[in-house]
Amino acid sequence: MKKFLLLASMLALLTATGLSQQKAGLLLTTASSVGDAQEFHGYWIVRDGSSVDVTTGDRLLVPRKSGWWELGITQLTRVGSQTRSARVWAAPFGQPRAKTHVMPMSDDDTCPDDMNTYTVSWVGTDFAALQHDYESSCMGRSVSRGQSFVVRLDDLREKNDVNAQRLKISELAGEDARKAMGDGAAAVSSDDENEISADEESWIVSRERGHYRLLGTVERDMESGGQTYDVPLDPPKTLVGPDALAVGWDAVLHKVPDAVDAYTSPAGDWLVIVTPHSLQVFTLDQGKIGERLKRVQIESPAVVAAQWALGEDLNAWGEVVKGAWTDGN
Amino acid sequence: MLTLFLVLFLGAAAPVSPLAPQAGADSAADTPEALQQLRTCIDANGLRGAAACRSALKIGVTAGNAAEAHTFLASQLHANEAASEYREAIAADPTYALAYLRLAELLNASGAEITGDDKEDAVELLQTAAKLRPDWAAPRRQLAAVLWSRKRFVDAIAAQKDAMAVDPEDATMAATLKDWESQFEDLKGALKQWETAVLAKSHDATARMRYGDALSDVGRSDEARDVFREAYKTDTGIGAALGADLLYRGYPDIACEVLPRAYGSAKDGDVAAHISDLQTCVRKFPNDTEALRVVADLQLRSGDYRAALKTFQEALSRDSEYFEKHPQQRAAYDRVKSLVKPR
Repeated sequence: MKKFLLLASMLALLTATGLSQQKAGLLLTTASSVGDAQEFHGYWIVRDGSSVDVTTGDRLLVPRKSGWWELGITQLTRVGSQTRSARVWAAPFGQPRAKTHVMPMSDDDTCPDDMNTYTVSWVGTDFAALQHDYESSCMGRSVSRGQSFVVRLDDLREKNDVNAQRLKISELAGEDARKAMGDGAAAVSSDDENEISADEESWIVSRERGHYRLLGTVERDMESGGQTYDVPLDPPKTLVGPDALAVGWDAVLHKVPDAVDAYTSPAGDWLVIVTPHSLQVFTLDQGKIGERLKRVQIESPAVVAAQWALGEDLNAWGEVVKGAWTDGN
Repeated sequence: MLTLFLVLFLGAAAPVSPLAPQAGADSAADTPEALQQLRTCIDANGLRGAAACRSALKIGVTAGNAAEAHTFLASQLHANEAASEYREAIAADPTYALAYLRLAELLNASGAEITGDDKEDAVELLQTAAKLRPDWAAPRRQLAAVLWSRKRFVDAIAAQKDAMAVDPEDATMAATLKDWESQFEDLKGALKQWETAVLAKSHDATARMRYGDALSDVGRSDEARDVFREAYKTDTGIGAALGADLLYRGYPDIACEVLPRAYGSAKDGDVAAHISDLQTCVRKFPNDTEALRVVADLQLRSGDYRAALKTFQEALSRDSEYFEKHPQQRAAYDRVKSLVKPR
């Protein structure tokens, strides 16, 4: 028995050491708005013992089963118009689209000053949440509209942002999500004077308190400012990937009271805290936050994508990311 | 057995157990059910988090945990509902720093929307949070920002330096401090200019007002107070502008001395705004009924007899000898009493 316990303890120790010594990297992308345009800020964070290396770049890279993809924004301008629109594109890495595109004047286009902008609010390995804003004062008629929805990355490549199919929440998160969406809308309607009805195609994925969450969205128009409401259901792994936080949110705030989001490594041995102006990396030991290893200033705390790399992937990711950011910057 | 060991170790990477004690959770005295609700309250977003907070509070938790439950519940609410939960958190555990910090943030963000406690001030809340958590830069940084926005520049720069001492690696704070110090140098230059202008034109009330502003801008508020009073003495015609400006800039004492006279004799202007300013004076100085007297006068002049009657009644409830001090209003009071029928 003694022998067996000793062997088991040694094995456990080896496993624990193996996990804690396993290097991991977090590829995190935030987005900011400069005027009407959206800009991405990427951070490749790798911890090795007490050292943390952070590489930065400005391209939104997505590691997918089929290989690396990139999401980007093309700014559209029109000859003879001051208005700028923006389009979101997705493509396998290495096939980037233009950053700007000038559209020729056309006799068919009666409203050249309309603003038609798409932005990204979240990207997973297969899906993305987009926001579409449309403003027009053409022919004396003012229109202002904003919608949020989720699309497939493949669709975004093949059909573009305008024609990509808006996915129903039940399609990606199951029947329970459809019901939860109804419950969320009903809860808001009972609190507010304005009744809202759940639209299965109007929803997004968002981050809060170190977890992903589902939000129903209400279209913005001339009369109302639009809003989001809680969909009380955890997003499935097939949609957002692993969503564990190896530390309580109270412990995060106890350490960094202005934290807005946090990510723990797969082995639960380090933690990245996002604040309005910084990324802060801490050690984590059995759920206890330890010393700060690194602090990096950030342009924006609005995280649109986050993926962890482990083991063999780590070096491969590092090469791709650093190469892309060096090339593109 | 081996599998069990592996599971235990791999479990370290799993999410925190609902019953795992965390910072602030006094697990010994609370029931497992209450603690489980508290865990969900803290970690879950949206409706589920809010429901769990309410549930934990309903079951009953010890003071520290109640403060956490109220604070995390507040984070799911808006404006006054949130403010009320933060106040409950502070009442439950006056040493829970996060509630002070969040309430201050809410007051800064929502301003006049938040009602309920006129004496509540973001500066004091942030100072308390900073005292309770000497290791937090956030309350000091926010305190600095609030002080700067209130033109208490010397104090703001000192608070920013305090914050930087706690987190010296914060480059954003360092850049802000540099910017503030440069702006402050400019203000000191402006002070010199107004000082010279007042010496050259001692009868110019507006120049004195600006000199007072310049003194206030560099944090010399006692001297500024004297200069504002001198400016009003020089020309009482500036009363309305001076008072309205000072009321919300940290000089309510001077503003509330000046405004009843200024608004009482004003022939035009925004009566609703005047009444609102005077009511601020009433709240700030409840024993002084002069502002109430002018509010009643303005309401009578605009024909709002019901509101005037209410104001008279409030004045009487504050000072039973009100009509002995303001005998000219007794007849008006009797008249509105007979005109206004009870609802």
